[in-house]
Amino acid sequence: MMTKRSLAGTLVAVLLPALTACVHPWPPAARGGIAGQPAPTPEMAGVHAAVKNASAAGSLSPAEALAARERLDLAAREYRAGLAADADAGLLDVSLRLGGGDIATRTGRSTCLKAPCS
Amino acid sequence: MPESAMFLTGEHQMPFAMFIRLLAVLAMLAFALPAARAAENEIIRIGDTLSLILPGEDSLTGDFPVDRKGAIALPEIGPVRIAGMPLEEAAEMVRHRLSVAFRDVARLTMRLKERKLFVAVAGQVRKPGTLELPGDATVEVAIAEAGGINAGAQLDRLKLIRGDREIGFNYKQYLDTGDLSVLPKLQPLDIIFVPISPLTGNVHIDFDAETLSRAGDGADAGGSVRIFGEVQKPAQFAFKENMSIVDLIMRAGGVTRFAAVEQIRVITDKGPVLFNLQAYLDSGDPALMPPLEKGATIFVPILADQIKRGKHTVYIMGEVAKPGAFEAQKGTTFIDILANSGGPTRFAETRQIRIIRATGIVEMFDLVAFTEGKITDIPLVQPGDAILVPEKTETQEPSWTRLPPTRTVQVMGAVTKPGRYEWIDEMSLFDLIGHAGGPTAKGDLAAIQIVKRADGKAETVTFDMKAYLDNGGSEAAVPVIRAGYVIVVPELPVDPNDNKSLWVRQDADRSIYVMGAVGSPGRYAFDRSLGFLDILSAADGPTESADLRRIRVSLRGQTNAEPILVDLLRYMETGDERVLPRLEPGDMIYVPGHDRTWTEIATGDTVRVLGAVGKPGRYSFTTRMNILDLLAQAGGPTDAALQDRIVVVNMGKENKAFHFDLEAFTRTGDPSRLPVVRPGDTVYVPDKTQSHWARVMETVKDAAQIVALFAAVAAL
Repeated sequence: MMTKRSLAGTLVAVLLPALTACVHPWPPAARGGIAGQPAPTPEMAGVHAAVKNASAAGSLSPAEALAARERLDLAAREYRAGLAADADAGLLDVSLRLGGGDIATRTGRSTCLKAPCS
Repeated sequence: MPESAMFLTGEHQMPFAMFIRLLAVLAMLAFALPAARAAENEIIRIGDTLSLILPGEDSLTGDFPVDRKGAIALPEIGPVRIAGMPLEEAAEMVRHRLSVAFRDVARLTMRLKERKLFVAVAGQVRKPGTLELPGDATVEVAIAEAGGINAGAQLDRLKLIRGDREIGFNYKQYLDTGDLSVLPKLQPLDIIFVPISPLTGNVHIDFDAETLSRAGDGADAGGSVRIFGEVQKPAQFAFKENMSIVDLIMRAGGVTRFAAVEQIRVITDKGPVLFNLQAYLDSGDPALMPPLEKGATIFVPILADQIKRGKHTVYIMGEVAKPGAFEAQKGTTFIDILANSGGPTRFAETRQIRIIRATGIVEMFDLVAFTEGKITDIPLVQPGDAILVPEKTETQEPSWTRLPPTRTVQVMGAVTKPGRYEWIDEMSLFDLIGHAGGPTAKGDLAAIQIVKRADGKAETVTFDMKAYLDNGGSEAAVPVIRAGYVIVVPELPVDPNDNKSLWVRQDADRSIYVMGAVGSPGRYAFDRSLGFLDILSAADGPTESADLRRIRVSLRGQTNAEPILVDLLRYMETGDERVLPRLEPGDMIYVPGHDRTWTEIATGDTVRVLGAVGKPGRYSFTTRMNILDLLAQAGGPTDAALQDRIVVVNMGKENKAFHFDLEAFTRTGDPSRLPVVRPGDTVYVPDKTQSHWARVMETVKDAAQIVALFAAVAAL
């Protein structure tokens, strides 16, 4: 009887740490995608159009337009990766480049140029 | 008695008709046989060309000229003299001579191909010398080839020199009659000598009719008249009755354009008489023309020799077509005198004409201003006045000492013709720079310095002529130049090496500094017309290691101004000029290199790569890159790397970590599995000791050791 109890205790002592190792917490799998392959989210479609119009009107220089498109591209990837706050910051940055138009974002942020920030 | 005569005696009994036929046959043989053999027995002469043919032997097949020594040059044998020998005999001798060196020479044939005549013509011909003539050339041909006979030749006593012999012949007789028998037949090396007539004396003169006529026909001084001075052909002519002075002038070819036709002097035993040809031609009055006498001398003086001096005389000197003295009637203007003098020459300085009054007062007159309507008053000239039309300054050597400083400006520096220039205040700075030949290629028109000197003081102002030329502007902005000023056009170095050597002379306020990863870092001359790319190009451009995305421009002139970050690659991608900063003198451009030490690279521009990679460290990163670029830059995962658990730590508004399965990506190629990596993030590549299985085994091992320890303690 004593032997059975000792054997059970030994198994518990060995398997418990092993189970503990199995639940070692790795971070979640990454998403996002490759740069240069834009997949704009619905809320970014308007900003893309605004960049295009501003570039055509000349109010946004070619270099600024390219930088804005790259930032929007990164924002889209950030959305997909779960970095919504960073993506929103990117959208706001682009908004500022466009002159401060209000932009609805996933986190509800908007520029502070036309309306005071709450 | 000749044989033929014997036939005519009729001693033999032969019919007369047969005799006549026999005689005809003999006569034909007598003429035909020598003619047929003539070509074979031609005597070889100097100048002949023989054609030799020996089948199978190229060196003995061709033309062989007989030289002046009468020999032909044979291969292997050398010269063989054959002149004077019959052709067949010469051929036989040549065969004999050649037989010592060649075989089968019996087949050698020789024929006369061409005959030339080497003669010389000397004496009174136009082109004396040796001639190479056709073989049948005559004396006349030889003389013609020598350019013909010169004037003064003694035509009836020409000589032909042949060796030691002289053969005289009368060429004049040939010319008179055309009888060729008068002329000796030419032979090789003959010399034709054309003597000169003893009438020509011992002094060489042209002995033609034109020259004789030009010299006049008055050999007898006692019966001649002489004319000299400003006539076309001064000469001595035989006096003829009823000859007039005008006749004599016409025989002398007329007067020249310089002749003083109002002052012709006729000198006779009775003394000199003045003849006014102009008045005679105007009136036709014969009383104005003095009679011409035997032995008279006519002198036509030159116009300039006249010295007019009178109470109405005005003088004009200098750069006019006909300087001299002119009559000035009442009301005569300066322009009248100038026009009479033929006007200013192209060397005249017409803005500085001086009128020197008889009283000694000097007045200036600007003819250019008058022609432009800026001056309407024409000065009157009075008898005794003198007009001086000076030469242009730039045509004088050296002239600068003749101009006082109060009438000049100095142009120095990078102009084509630096120097001291005469100045009038109505001219502008542009006139001056243009007159100095314009700026050189290195001339910096953007910083022209004008040193204003007046009252013992100097003040310097700088004028940006380039900006004025490029953009225009008010005329009032152009500095007014006065006599005595100094204008300096500085140099703008083109070559960086020049720039290095001249940096001491280069004002720091007109410089820009380029440092870092460029071909030639240094200080460069700069003005506002130059752009960012100009300066970068002047510094030989960025090197291969240059980090074009992070060029920095420090604005030295602005207090507390942050450096401007220039992304030159972005400019190259978009061509957007607004990416390039507008530079000011004094600014500094720094082009960093990719090989900077990690402390020089801002944290926000890099991604840290840790763990099981070839070269862990910090790496420059842009949002265009992805994790694969980064891993490749870091040398890739090592063999011990846990490739399915690469961890990316995003440092942003919210810090989050994700893991990236490189093995899965390499199997699927799904780009959506790539993590977002941005500058500032961290990538960690764990090794295999951190895998699940390794951790389990490690834990089990540890637990087993603990259990064993407890068991051992319990056993005790």
